Amino acid sequence: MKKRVKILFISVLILLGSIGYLCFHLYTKPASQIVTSGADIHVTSENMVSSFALDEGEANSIYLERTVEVEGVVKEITFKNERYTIFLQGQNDFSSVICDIHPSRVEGIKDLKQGERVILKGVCKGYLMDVIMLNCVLLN
Amino acid sequence: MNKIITLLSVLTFGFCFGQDKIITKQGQVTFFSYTSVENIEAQNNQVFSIIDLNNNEIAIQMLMRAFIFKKALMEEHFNESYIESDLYPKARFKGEVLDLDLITDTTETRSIKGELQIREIKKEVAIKTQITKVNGSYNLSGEFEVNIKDFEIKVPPLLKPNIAENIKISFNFEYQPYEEEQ
Repeated sequence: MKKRVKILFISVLILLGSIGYLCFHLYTKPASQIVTSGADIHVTSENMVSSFALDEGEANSIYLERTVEVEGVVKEITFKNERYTIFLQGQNDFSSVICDIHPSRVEGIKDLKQGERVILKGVCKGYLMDVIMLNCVLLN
Repeated sequence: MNKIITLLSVLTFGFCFGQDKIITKQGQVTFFSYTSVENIEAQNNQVFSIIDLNNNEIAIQMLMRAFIFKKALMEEHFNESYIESDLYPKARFKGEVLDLDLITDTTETRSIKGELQIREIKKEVAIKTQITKVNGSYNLSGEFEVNIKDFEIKVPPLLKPNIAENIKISFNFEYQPYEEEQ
């Protein structure tokens, strides 16, 4: 009897510990992690901007919160608020795909040149005048 | 002589036309919620804004999903429970920068009056801003508070101690002359 109570007590303790650990892990899990999985969609920056300009609702249903591999020509690289951003050429001069580079993956970004063709992977967050992607990493 | 006058007119007109509007696509908006239980902070670095220098009208637009949080759970609660970003993906502001045209080369304080729209709920606000004139363009920065009840943001009773009723918003916009497509 005593042994059964002891086993039960230990089991409850392990269960509570696991739940506690899980809660702590979920609570402290950092946001904006690098996307390690493969991309859901491959697209050029021109086509991506065109899709949003043509029908934002439809484009949202395709791209929003999805991991996208976007290929395009570097229009501009900026370093603001301690973050690198790459603007990929859209279908016109005004609109681009704005890729916010994940802070842990800035290596190689500084060396990129305007006009260079690159492939970036990130998560699509939507469209204002440009398509906005966060947590981006350079693939080539 | 006529050619010189024509050339000067074209240059002057061209300059004025080019300076009509200023924009930024990388404005920064940060919000802070301070409570004794926890502090929550998030940044949006892709805020779009345009100012028409002819009438000092300002428009701002941002994606609610583009806020960067330290913790994933905070980001999830913000987008799914409080802001409901699926239903209301953008926040907007439309208004006027008062006396923007009277700014000299030093940093001066001005008011922005207009309508703030979050979750499709509109509210009139007046915001103080520091304005610096830089190379014919302007930098605007400042902070203000938003009451979550004004925008019908509902917090479950269990999480009420974690979320401040008044959220501090700070902003920093560095504008560039807007070159319209020819």
